[in-house]
Amino acid sequence: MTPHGGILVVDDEFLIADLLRAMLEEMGLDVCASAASADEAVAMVRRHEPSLVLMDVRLKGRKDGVDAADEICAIRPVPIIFITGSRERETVQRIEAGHHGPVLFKPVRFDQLQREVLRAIS
Amino acid sequence: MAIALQSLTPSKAVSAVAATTGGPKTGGRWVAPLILAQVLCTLAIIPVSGLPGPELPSLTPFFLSGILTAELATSFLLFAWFHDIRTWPLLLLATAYLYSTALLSVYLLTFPSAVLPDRVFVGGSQAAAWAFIVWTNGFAGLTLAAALLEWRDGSRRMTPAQARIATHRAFITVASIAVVTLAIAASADHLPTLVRGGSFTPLNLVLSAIGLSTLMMGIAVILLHIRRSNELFSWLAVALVGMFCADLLSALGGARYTVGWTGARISWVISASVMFLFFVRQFVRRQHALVDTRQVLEDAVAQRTVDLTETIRQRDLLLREVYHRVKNNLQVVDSLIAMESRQLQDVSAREALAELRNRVFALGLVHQQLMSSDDLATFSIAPFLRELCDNVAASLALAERGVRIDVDAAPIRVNLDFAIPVGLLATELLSNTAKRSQATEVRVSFQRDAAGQAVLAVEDNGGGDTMNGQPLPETGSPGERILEGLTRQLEGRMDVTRDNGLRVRIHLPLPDIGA
Repeated sequence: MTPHGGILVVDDEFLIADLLRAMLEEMGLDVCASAASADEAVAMVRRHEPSLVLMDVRLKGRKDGVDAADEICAIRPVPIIFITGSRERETVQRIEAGHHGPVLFKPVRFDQLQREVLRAIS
Repeated sequence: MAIALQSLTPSKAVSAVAATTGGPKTGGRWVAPLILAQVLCTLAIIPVSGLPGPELPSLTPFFLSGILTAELATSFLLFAWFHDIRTWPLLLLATAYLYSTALLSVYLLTFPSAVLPDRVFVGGSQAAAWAFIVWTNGFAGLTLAAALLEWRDGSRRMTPAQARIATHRAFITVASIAVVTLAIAASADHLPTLVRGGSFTPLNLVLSAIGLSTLMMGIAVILLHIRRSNELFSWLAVALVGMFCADLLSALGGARYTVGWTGARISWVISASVMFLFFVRQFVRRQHALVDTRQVLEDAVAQRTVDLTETIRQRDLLLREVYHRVKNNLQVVDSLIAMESRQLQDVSAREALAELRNRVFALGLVHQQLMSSDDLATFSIAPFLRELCDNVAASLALAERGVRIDVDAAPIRVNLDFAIPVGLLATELLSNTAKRSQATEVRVSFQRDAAGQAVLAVEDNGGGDTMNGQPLPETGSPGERILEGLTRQLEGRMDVTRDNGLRVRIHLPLPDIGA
């Protein structure tokens, strides 16, 4: 069930990252690392080579989750699920312009996350 | 208002001026009366133009100085205008007035008694007459050329580089003609005679007639084809009529110092002043336009300021409302948890929900502080921490258990992103510490250290490493994970000391809130 390389959780809010980690572990999946900023996320991708990334849009620092996803995709192809609290059209358009992954809106339900995660890693 | 502002943008203003060499056409109503007045005055003088007038040679430099000054100023203003508009007719007109200024200087130097008493400064007895013919006929030719160009293709513009070159060439040409004319005038006694015994010769009258015809053609072109579309050339027509009247009176006078000859000088002064007055009028008109524009802009800025102030007020109202609703919703969450808690029999479960309620209260308290903040973005952490500690103390009934809480917080301003984790950290630390049965005093402080970082400290006198008589939670418990996780989120560092009490100090970089 656990994909090779595990799952990287990127969110600048510790409590939300912790909740996502708990939900993934409940699904029987491994979380290889978590990151709070775009640069940290890219570094974690290089180090752990995850099979999936859960990416928040608003991150600590100047770059956001879409920037981080762009950099990650330039390094290696990895499925990315965006999880954002913003429903602004501009944000969604930026994501859809460069990435094919699904976009989930906070608060994320367990079944929603499970469905998208399983689809991404299958 | 938007339309008014748009119509007054600098590019529009420049375009409006550049669109025509004449500018606004509201001054055209003066042209016909002025021309008519000059013609009537000339007609009145013509019958007596041949009579002898006062022989005052000293009046010549007086008249010529006035004409020279007016035409030099007009030439300068026309070249300045040409610099912006760059049309051929305007260049020719500016050159015509520069030419007139240069040739007038030659005429002044060659006229008897104008510079030196009882003799000429340069040349012989014919010099002034030839300088006069070259001046008036050349000026008439240049103005006719300008009028024809304006009529046929007045809107074609040069590039800035072409305009610069053309200006240089105009100056060089005029200067060359003036020098050549002065040289010829100096030896004019070898040329055909134009003045004999104070009277004009037939050749002089023929040359004058050519000049008059040229002037007449220029006036006709302007009045018939240009006057309605170009105010500058309308006023030029007034000036040319003045010059025509002057030349006519001078010719009809037949000799120097006749009534016609003297009337011609006066008419020349009027003619030379017309264009200068046109520019004075333009200046005054533009000054008024500037004042009006400034007033419109000031009104627009004032209205914009009112609009922005109202927008900011509405934004603040909206933000306050959002904070208020978030706080209320968190209170609803708190009430729901309390309702569930009352149904539970298990003490540990009720304690867990009590801790959860404290955390929810911390979140709500942050929004309450923001709601009453002046800038709706930051607030002082001191009253926030005091109220937070009071709530935790009340929820855990610490006063009833003999535990005293002392809060010492500096009035450091913090923002939402910083206050929420700090509030949760303080709640977590205080809950853990206060639950220790041995503690009777708990001290909570939030101060700035020497390095400029904030230090959140919770200290008690609870003795050993136990809680409610049991050992402290093991590493990895939810409480400890929250402490570590939130400290890491704020890029802080946590020090724990257990020595006759528990002392936890969390060092946190303060947020940049632009204060």
